[in-house]
Amino acid sequence: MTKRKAISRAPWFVGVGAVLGFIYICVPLVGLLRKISWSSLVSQVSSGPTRDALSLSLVTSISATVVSVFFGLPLAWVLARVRFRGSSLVRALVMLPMVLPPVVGGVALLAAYGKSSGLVGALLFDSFGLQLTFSPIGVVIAEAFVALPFLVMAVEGGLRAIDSRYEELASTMGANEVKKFYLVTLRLLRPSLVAGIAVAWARALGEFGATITFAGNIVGRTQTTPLAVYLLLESDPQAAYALSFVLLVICIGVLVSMRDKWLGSRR
Amino acid sequence: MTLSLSGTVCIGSFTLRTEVSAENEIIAITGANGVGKTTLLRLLAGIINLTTGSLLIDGVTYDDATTDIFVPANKRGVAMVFQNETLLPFLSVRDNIAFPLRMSGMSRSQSREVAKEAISSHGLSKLAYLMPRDLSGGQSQRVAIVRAFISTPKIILLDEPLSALDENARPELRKFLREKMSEISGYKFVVTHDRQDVDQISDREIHLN
Repeated sequence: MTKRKAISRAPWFVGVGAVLGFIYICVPLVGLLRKISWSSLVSQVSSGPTRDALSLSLVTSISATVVSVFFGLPLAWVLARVRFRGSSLVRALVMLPMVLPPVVGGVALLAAYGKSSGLVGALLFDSFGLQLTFSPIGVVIAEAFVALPFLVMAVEGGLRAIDSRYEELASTMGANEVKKFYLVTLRLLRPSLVAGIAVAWARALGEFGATITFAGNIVGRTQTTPLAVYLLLESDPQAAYALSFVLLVICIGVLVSMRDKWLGSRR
Repeated sequence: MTLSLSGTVCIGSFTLRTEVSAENEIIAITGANGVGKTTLLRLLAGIINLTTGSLLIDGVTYDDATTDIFVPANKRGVAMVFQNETLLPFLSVRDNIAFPLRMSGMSRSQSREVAKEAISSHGLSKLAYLMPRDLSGGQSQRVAIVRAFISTPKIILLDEPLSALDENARPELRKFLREKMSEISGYKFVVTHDRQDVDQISDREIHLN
């Protein structure tokens, strides 16, 4: 009730701005939907190259999300709970990929993991013959690089909001550090962790700049869906629209699954 | 059987200087807000450690600032009850009560069995599968108290266990608390502002200032 009242009281110029903003977001979506040939949608998406791009995207983005959780959870924990000198600098660096142009991230990754002259990459290649660039692993590295900060941000916020008394209680009830973390901290953190996983995954799935710079655009090997969409727009626009539609549906799915967190439809 | 604590804790600019010795008895801890009553409980629980001094329980050193000996909370055999929100919000009443048992190494099914027995022997069967958010203040404190005593702790720490309850809900729970505490031997501490708690629950009062 109060919400409805607040909206009805919005001054006319605010209302107009809000409506225009809404239209601004919606027009491209409607445009995209109009371009799709629904009868051939399934065949376009399931044809060889597009299917390859989709499955590569799925595998790499999920792997990148796993990597983000693996590194992001401890990072968020330290940033939220450990007081140390330079913590704000560490946070700024961890969050940097979120605001950095992705292509710059890709260039930086090349400089670090490139096989001929990269900081670490040359060593990896010379010692183990391991090449990260232009490989599916390279795609995962690029995607995780840009997705990680989103996970850290969500989880750090969640950790700060947890009432630490529950964890203290768990200790008094005999839980050691590991059990306390798994049975209490992680459980209390679940909504934030799920939200973090969802945004990190969506970010990894949509990654373009860092991926094409670091991992290249090799069909069936490093060409993820966004790269495929961009190239198909020239050669086969119908397929590009179909693939875009699939990405759109996935992202709407992410939003819907997070409605508690963002849209506040419950509670 | 004695507990003796003597030393100081410094947390930021706050310093608590303390000297406590206890036997098998119920001690009421009183004193103005901010004097360090909860800090004292956290010290006994093993959540924080002494800055100087030592804590000895039954002749064993639990905390010693000079030798760096510190037995953490999960190895002390303590049980705590806060004034509210003592129950883990994501576990049912039964699983909350089973939690300390599971931590002590009991299997999931056995701990649930023991918890259910305790629930029914306290006349709380109706609550067994409810979540903490569905309980009234009095009900959750009752469950928290049952949980605190489930694994016969050596040290019981109650931080204003009745103060969040209505005036008329207190006498009954006070009686329940007194009964539970006299059932087991150990070091029992109750932080309270209420004269009636001091008079009716405790054997002795320690006034912090």
